[in-house]
Amino acid sequence: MSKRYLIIVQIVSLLVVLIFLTGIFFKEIISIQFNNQGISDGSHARDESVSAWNAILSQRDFFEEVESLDSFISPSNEDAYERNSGDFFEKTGIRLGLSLRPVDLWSIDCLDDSKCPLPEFKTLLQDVADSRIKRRVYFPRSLFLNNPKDWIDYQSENKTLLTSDTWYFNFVPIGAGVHLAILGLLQYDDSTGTVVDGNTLKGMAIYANYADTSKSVQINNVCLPQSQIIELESKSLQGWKIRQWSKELLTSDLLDMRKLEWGFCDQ
Amino acid sequence: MNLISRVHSRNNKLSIAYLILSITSLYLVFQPILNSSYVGDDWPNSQTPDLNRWRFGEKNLINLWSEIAFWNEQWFRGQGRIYSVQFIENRLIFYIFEDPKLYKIFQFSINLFAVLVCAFLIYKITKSLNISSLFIVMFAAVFQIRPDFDPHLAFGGMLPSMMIKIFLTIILTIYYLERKKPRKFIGFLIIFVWVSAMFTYEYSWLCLPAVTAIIVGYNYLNSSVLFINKTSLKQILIGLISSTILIALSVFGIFKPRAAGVSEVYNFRFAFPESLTTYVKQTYAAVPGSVDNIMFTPVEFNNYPIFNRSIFVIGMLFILLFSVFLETFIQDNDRRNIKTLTVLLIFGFLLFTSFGLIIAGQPVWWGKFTFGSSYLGVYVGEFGLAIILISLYGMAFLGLKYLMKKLQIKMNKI
Repeated sequence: MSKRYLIIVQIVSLLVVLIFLTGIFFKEIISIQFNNQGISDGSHARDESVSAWNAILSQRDFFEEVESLDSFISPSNEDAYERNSGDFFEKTGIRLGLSLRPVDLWSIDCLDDSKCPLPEFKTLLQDVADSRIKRRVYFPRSLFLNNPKDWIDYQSENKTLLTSDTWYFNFVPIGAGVHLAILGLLQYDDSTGTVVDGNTLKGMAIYANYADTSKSVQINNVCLPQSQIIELESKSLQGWKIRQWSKELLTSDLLDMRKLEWGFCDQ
Repeated sequence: MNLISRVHSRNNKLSIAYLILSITSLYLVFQPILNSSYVGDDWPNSQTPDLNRWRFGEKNLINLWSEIAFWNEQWFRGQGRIYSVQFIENRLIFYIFEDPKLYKIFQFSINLFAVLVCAFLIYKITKSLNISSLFIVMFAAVFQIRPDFDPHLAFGGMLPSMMIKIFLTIILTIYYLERKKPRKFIGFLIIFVWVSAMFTYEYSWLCLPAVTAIIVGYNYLNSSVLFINKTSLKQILIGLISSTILIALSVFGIFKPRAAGVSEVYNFRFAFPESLTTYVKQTYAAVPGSVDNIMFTPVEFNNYPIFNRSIFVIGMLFILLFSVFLETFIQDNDRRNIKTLTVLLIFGFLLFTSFGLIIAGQPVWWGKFTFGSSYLGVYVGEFGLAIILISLYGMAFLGLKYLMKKLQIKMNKI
């Protein structure tokens, strides 16, 4: 047999073996790559919520009555996500005192019982600020005289939470591509407990581009008035449309935040 | 240029071309990292710059340091854990890359860099560009993204950062050993990088056997052909082992017992058979196709359009794997032999079998782990597996060539 023939036999044999091995791995590689892409795509589940949040915060007028050192009691507050005082400050320029969930202030038992008047909130907020761990100074402060002070320390020392306003703020998805922001001033009365002042209540609906804007949004069966739709430019795939808010939305003066309801209405 | 030089010149060009192709394959398969959003702990960690700005009034390095030092102290006092380097890196990363897209570019880059550093290490051991390129392709083929606790998509690049430091420890050691009069600064730098790895994530502690083995293996492979400074070798090994033991003793002997309230998650103990079964399940997680047990499910091709990126990636991978096999007929200037491959195999094996021990020692996970679920340490296992595969492939190829030679001799005698 010629040497050339032997070399050809060797090459073909090796190729057959190695291609066979490649074929075995082929299905696994396909499966893994598809799965990787699927998991990556799944990580975008919160994109619409984040985009809607940013759209609402871009409407500075909605928050025109809110001032720095005011606080939010917000069922939608979440420090692990963008719905926190830090992101709020970054996007609106309003440096809130605190932004907490109702469950951070009041017991779950009372929150679940609509007959239980919600206790006074300003003292509780002040207690929260006072109890927050004081941050040690890890550098010689004297070298950096202009460094602003810890905001929690400032509120604790000056008891600002006892005098500043506190707002009920909620941000909720209510349907396909539609989110609702609700804002209202909180007040306390011995007979009613902590309630939302209905005269200050506002709502703002955010519609994604694909959402149906023919239906308006209602809070406690009061439809947000049909109004000019503001279209926002958006970096996301969806644009956003905003239906204007309205004050004096509801007839009742004092509202229990636990009984607020919302949804769609025809207008 | 004579025939031999022409062959070598052609081989080197093909080897470089193959290296470029292999890096391209890695770039393609890492696209899901680039296209992902925040995952897991990245969500709360990414809020840190804004929350710091709210709390301290502005974003600057002083406030950043205050944040880092605070949480480092909380973990230290509360859980007895020291991973200070991780805090520095994590907070710095989110401070610099506030835009999620920039953060993902960073994450993509550090994952890519970790693989390239390991490939460079393999090149230093084997002197073969082809084997290094093959490692890159193998990693691209076996790497999997997990739905929970994924080390590629989340945690601010903590696992790639840890692996880079581990590989750099070995690479620096190799350079140190090859010098007749090494600079002491390099020796201290090696220990510093190793300690930094340990303060990045505790999984690095378990990589000590692998690190020691590859250094000793390098000495074994090269002491007859290269100068290896034996004194330096002893110094480095003593430094690595003693620093690891010292830190482990400090954590488990001093800091944890004095911690304010160690979470159940960080209480370590081993029991049979719970630890063994959990260890097996976690180690299995590094096997390709283990995520969601996809290796046992058929692929639904109809769900993916012909021009889908994944198809292209897969096609590219297939071509690359095939080219690997073709390319192996062209030898570059390596000393590919059974001893080198055995050293690599041991290194890969020790990496692959190390990471399961941590989960196996955490009782809180015993009942929760199933085949198909995984934790962060599986990242170490992916490197180990890719190294094992290239070693086995090389050994199989050597074996086949040996058989072919035997066959040729027999045929010539006939």
